[in-house]
Amino acid sequence: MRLVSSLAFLVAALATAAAAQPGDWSTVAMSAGAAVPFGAGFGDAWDAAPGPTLRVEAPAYGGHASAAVRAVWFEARDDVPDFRLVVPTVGWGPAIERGPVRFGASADVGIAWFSFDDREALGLESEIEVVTGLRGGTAVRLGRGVEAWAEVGASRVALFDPTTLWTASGGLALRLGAPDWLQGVLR
Amino acid sequence: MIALVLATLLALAPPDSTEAPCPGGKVVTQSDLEAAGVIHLHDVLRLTDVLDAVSVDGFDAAPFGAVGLPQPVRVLLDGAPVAQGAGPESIGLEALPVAVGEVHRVVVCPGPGVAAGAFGGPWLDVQTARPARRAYGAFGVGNESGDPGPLRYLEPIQNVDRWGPDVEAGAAVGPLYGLYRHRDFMPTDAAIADRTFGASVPERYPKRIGWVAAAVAEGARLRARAAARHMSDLPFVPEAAREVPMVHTAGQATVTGDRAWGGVRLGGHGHAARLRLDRADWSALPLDPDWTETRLDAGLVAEAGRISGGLRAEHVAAAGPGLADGTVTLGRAWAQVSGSRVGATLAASGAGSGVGGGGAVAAEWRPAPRFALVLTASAQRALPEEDRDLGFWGGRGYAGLGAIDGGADALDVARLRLDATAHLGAVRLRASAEGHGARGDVFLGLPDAPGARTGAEGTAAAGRAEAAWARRGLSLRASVRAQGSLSGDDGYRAAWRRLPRLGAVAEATARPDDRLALWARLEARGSTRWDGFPEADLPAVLLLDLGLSKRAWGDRLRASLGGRNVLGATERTHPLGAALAPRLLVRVEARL
Repeated sequence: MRLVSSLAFLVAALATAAAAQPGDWSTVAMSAGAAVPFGAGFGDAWDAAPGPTLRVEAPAYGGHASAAVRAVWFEARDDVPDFRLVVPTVGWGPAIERGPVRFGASADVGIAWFSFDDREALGLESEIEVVTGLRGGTAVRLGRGVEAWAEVGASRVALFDPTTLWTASGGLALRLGAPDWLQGVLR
Repeated sequence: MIALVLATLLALAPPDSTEAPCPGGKVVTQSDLEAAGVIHLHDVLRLTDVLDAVSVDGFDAAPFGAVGLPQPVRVLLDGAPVAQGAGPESIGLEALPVAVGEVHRVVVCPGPGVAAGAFGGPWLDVQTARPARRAYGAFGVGNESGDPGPLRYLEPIQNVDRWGPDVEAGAAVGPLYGLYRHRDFMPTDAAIADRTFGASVPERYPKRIGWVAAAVAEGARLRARAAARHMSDLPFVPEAAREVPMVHTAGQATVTGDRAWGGVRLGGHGHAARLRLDRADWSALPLDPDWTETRLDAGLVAEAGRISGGLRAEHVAAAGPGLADGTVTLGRAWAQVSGSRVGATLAASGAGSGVGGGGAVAAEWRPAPRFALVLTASAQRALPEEDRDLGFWGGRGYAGLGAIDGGADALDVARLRLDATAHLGAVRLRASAEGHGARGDVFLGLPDAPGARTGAEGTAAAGRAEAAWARRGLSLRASVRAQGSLSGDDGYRAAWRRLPRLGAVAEATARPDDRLALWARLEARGSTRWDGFPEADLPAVLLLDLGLSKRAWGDRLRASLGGRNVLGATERTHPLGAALAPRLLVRVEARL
């Protein structure tokens, strides 16, 4: 929780840092990569395996708005079912740029969709739960709109026994100017 | 002009007005619903701190008005009656054949006044508008926190409630549009799980699932709505003190309109409905709600200058197990004179039980510019036929849910109310104080005597103050409320103790532009006591609700997130009901 609190302070600090922001919805960054879970997760009954993560991000309202989805697979060690966890979120947060490097943070809210490999679940093969999270990371501009990015995030899943899922993610992003029609849709 | 009247003539009021057309009233607009992330009709009640709402399972809520005796509020649709609740059917706003996206504004009036041709106390009018030019679709889902997740395979943890996925769809052609709304809900809260699972056969997970559909035609100052509803339902029936499986279907048709000829304006409504309740084939209970009801209702309003008046006639034919007399014929008439500073209304009603009616006198005084006081005195005798609850039908022999100590007395209410309004620049101040006395009977729904009614007589008082400020994309509102009995017998006091004595709300809405809205609402709700119930005391709670909404593609796309009870208070409004944990509501709309 201390690290989560620290991330919260980081978001607040970045929010006060003045930075030249492009116009709202003027650029779109499409990111793809891998999310590697670490930490206790849901305990010892499952091993968490990395999964894909996708995100779309655009400047908006003084920061960056994003929509993302990531997936993690949990393989059972004991006599319990495997399950998949898909987490779609929306978020917003500040970003500052220093040369080719961009530092950003975001607060996210979304749902955690559990899908269990359990044929006896009788209509409860899936569950959804509220998830809130914080993430922070950095991206380096490689040229021609391509960026390499890495971040760390903590997601709090509001289960009966609230659980924090930590992930380290990284990948590539393509940042382009948003065409007029897309800006019109997003506005 | 004194606004003593009326839902019948609300259609004549500026349709986009955010000012309530009645003293002490409240208007909730479509944009308010959007900013708050509302996905269900009954969530409107959360935004109107003028009313109280009780929900046992979180699927639906019934609005209660603290006037005379705390009693269900009259619910109208576009100023006309709507078939909602018949016999043993226990359902609130979710019965309305309306899509959330169709709601243009909701007007709540504490009364006294005439609404849909009937004089009386508080009412809630859902006013609708075509949601889109050609096509409309919406998807909503809500989830309560506290699910077991994968840990259910390690520990016995109960699943928690989920709302949806709920779907709305509509299409329009010329002056005609059609709508469909589907609801899906699993009542699994630990407080009610034993009852809900026990009411359903093992092969079926207890659910409340159903749809409403409507076709609406508009033109020439007329609106016609034909609607149908079907639900495989598991509502909490107070008279049975438990959830009762039932399948309820309803068909209804309503025509409203108004026309002007010279200096005379005529308006009115025609309404016909048929409602049917059956025992669900998946029910594990021996109870058979079996109910059939046909309603015919017509009202006419005429307004000429400062004089207005109206007539309304209702005929109901009902049938059910043990029901000796299922026929009710009720007639009402009213007349009103509205001056620039004084108004008066006189009303009369007649039915099999006798004659009722009432009247009100209101006087307005403006001691200073932008400052107004309205003093209203009223008295009314409401006949039992005007509020045909299950106790009323129990008195006529209905026994579908077991023995009900039926019969109902007329309700006599006298009210004295003072409303004050002041506009100080961007700040609007409102305050009201009211005293009322009532005599009638009340149904308390006690677990050991669920169908019993008891006499109730006493006096009560209520007060409310509100301050609102709005400027450039930011609006703030704060209100405080106090209500409670001053004197009375045991039944009267017990009924009043079920409503919070104190309440306060602080609300903020930020709109950086016309595409984004951020909303927050903090409510302090006082404790309540339900004598005769186990765990009779429901503690005071502090509730924080949040909302975020975004429009895109020129208003064609709308998405909203709503957080309810974000602080995680124990939100329970009925001692036998669920405790609703923090929940997230998600809604996506397309209007083409």
